[in-house]
Amino acid sequence: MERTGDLLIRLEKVDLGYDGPPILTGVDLEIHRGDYLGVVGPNGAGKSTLLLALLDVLTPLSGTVERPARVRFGYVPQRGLLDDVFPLSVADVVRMGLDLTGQTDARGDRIESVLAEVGLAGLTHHRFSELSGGQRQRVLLARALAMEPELLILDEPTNGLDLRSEASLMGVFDALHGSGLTVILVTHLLGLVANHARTLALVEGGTVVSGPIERLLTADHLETVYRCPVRVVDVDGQRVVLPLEPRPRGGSRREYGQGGDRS
Amino acid sequence: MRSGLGHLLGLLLLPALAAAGEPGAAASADPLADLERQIELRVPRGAGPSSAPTVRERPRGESAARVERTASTPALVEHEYPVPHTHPEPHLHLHWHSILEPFEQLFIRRAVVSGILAGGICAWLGLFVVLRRMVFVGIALAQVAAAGVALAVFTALDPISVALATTLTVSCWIGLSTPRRATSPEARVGLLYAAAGSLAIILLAKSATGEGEQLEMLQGSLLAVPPGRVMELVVLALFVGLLHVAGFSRLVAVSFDPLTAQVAGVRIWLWNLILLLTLGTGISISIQMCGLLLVFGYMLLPAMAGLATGLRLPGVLTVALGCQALSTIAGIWLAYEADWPPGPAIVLTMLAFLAVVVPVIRATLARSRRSPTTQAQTRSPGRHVESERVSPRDLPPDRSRASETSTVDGGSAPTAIKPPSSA
Repeated sequence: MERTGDLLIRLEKVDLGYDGPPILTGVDLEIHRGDYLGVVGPNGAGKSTLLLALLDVLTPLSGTVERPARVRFGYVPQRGLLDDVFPLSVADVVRMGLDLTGQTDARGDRIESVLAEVGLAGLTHHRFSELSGGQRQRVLLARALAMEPELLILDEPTNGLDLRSEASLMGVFDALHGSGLTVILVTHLLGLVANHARTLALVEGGTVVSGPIERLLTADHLETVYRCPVRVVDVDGQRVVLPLEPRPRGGSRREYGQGGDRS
Repeated sequence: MRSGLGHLLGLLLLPALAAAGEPGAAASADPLADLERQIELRVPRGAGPSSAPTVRERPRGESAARVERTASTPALVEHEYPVPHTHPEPHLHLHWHSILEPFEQLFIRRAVVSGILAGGICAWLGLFVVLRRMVFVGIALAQVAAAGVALAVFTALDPISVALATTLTVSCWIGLSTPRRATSPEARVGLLYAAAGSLAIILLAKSATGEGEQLEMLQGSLLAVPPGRVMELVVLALFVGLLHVAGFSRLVAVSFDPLTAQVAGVRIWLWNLILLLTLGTGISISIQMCGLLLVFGYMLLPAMAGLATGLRLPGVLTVALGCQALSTIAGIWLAYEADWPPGPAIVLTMLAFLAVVVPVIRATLARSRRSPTTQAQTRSPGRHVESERVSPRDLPPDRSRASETSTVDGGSAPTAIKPPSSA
């Protein structure tokens, strides 16, 4: 896949971890302006560790991290990590993004405009903790947009959302990417990245494999990563990733019905 | 927060039990405590500062008059004594004059000012303590400050200086130490609390005025605040106030979503340390005057009252500061009239505020949101949509397609996604 945008971040032979042995070793990854990267992998594989390194919050144990220029991040955290006890309105949360980036001019207008961008115009004075999951996620997205990011990083943005909310939110991310924003989507839902991201970073086995989605999103690759049978099928032009039941070896066959257990 | 309330109730009961056992209590090793039980100091109404108080022997069973003393030395405070009640009319016939009578006393006015200043600092900091779910850190720091005072009593040093030094050291340790995976941060704070509590009890038990000091540490000596301490509180309140107002948005961001703040370049360790150091300073300055119980009450209860109203952050802060100020005035009045120790009286008043005033505020706010005037405003075309009338629960779970256009209650049409300015 041709990547013509400016380089934003390059990780070269990077080892990542905390106390003790590294969690990810020899990570090579490039993020270019205009990319839409999906970061996927099994639970505990190290997605969050990679995310922290990309955000420049975690210092690598070894290797080279290249950032040609200071990148403005728009980070959308998992909404479940934010405490409901804070008495903040929607406007307060978005204003936080302006405060953190030192924007002082026309704040009211800016808050209204970013809320309108994510489809939440009119909810300015609502209490953040009383919104639905999808609305909260949009508020956090609005806060990230208020920070005028070059790189938008989304951490499990559709966790706990129903299908309609998920589709709607993914539509917003697609539109933002279409407008020129670089997007990194960290998720455990393969179906999301399969139809939205352009490039993929598979985190597994202590390292990261990255490349175009057409090359990596194959049954062979996914079976290696997830250690279970997988099928990738095309339904009306949409990729669907199906985990298959592992076939029992020499096991019994059971059928259940009106006649009761006929094993 | 509930465990914090339980702890507070436990602390509240201790001085009450101690007071209940007072008339029949055996003579203690503290001669001053015995003197409190046996004599009453009387100052004639209208007497000047030079008038000597008369001393009479108190019949057994009669409630004790308050004898004020400084915490560091067992000597009596020479310049002021609380005046015992000499109301000519029965208590039930309260007039404004008789209600306000306690506040004519200089030491009462000083206690009110000191209480409001110390309570204001603690309530402000306590809001962050409650929001960040670090109530246990607040208790532990208060216990460390108490251990500092105990160390000062034992070594005959200045209590405030020692309390400040110990609390700031521990605050730095909490703020800068890296948590180990083997033990949770709460467990480490618990360890600190146990160590500080044990040390305080042992040091006071071994000091010359141990028993009296223990009770005083719990309930404070708000009625015997020297004038210099009021000035210290004014300076501290200004310092904490200016620092927190200047960094308010950073403190809120770091408390609400530390990772996003860190990604934006905020040094979260620094702001956490600032919060802990101001907390340690506020507690240290207040602990000897207000006592462990009242300091903890000031940190917890006003914040709970503010949050229970359902207001936004500025409203919560206003209610919290109002709660502590009104409760301090009412509590000191109650302490004077009922001859109660002021610390527990103020805490009880704050609890009453939480139980009575907060529901009234909530009901008033709910009524104002339902008022016809407000509803009419929302229906008028072309007006900006306000939040109060539209419950988010009334909206669809999420806005997709039609709802994405934000047409609920006349909301604006969708705005096209704009390219970022830098892209």
